[in-house]
Amino acid sequence: MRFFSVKAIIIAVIVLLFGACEQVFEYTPYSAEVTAGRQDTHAKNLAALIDIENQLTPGQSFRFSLVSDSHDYFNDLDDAVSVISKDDESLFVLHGGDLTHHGILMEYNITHHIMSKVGKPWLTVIGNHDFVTNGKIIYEQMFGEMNYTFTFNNCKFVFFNNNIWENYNIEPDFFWLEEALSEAGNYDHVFVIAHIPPWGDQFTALYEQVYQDIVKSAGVSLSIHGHGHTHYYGRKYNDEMDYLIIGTPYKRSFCTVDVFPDTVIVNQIPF
Amino acid sequence: MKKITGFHLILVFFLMFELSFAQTRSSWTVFVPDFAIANFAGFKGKYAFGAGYNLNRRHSLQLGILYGFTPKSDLPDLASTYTARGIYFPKVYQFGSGFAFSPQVAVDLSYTIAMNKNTWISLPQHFPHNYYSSTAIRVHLGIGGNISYHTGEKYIFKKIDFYAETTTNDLYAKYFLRYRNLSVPDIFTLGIGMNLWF
Repeated sequence: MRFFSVKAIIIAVIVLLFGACEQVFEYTPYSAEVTAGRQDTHAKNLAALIDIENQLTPGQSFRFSLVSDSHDYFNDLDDAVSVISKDDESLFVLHGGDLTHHGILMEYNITHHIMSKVGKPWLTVIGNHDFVTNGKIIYEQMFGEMNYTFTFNNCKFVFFNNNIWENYNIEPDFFWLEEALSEAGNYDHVFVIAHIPPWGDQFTALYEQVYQDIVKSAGVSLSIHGHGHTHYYGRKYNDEMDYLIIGTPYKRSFCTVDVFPDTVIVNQIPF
Repeated sequence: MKKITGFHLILVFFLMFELSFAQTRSSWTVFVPDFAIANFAGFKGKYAFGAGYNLNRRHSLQLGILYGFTPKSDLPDLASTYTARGIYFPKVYQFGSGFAFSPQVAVDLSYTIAMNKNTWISLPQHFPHNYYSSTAIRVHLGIGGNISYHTGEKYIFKKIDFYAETTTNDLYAKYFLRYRNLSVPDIFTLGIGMNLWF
């Protein structure tokens, strides 16, 4: 049996070593290289949302769905998305954070793949687990800014990064939140979506009070959170402010919010 | 004093295994590697270099210790990956003149240092106890093959190995169990390399 010379084999291997098809070779599970098709997800979905909004009449009621804290329970998230996708009344979906458990690119990719199957625009707020390892860099490439807002049918949605421990103990930007809510009176409803509830483990008593004061002063209709995996809906502080903790798909439920000009109705949907 | 982690214990285990074989060598040669390693990808960093040791007389068990790096052009932060690996060759097939093929199974323990502060071996103190497990330590399983060529005693390197393996890690294996639409190829990646024997 003939073989090539040793020299030829060595040259071939060296060529293969440095010219190999890179997507086949992963250097580290902590990669932060988001593919082009998954970048700027919020911008793409917000553009799609505008088209949906244009089909509504002003003041028309609408519904949106909420999931949160899916971590790496991908099958459960997949099941929730399957149910939501069949609800024609639900116009878009919000994810309340902890899209991943370890902030690993593969987790982000799987969650992105699953959420994209919902067939409606979907938007997220970053959760504390999403910061772990290179998660913050991945989130910003895949989705965009961590603090952002959009309006839909005379309602304002404010997405606020209030994670602290995993965000290098940086204080949440309450000035930004105040500014984002400064014209809240111009809207039928304002919704704030922030992963950590104000009574959560990462908030000091001061932060809890600051957050309460800001959302109450602005007349926020519903303060929406994740982090706690048990669903909660109520007036946590026995005042007129309603708080929602969405829950988690691995406890087999998601939420819907039906928005009317003068009220909102929250439902927990088991699946 | 830094906490002794599982990583340290397994490294000590591998070294003790090597030292138990050291009866056939003089005391100082125990630490002299048997071969040098150059590796590309396979979760060991983009480029990794290191040294390896035979652990038994039959040469069916090897220890490899590698330092790998992934440059900023490929990762937002330069990352260093330290890997300790145990490689087992169940059988050797001789062919041609001086050639041999061996399938190989490898179990790796890797420790990654990244510039971000959220890749840690021990939980930072501002977190409650057990809030997260280590984010920097990974366990890998690799399956592949090794082709070696004996060059003869007159050359500097008496043997050259070329290997290729497909590798997964503990997290990817968990995702496979947690997501029904993930296939086996989705959780494995390729790594290739060569060993130069002294």
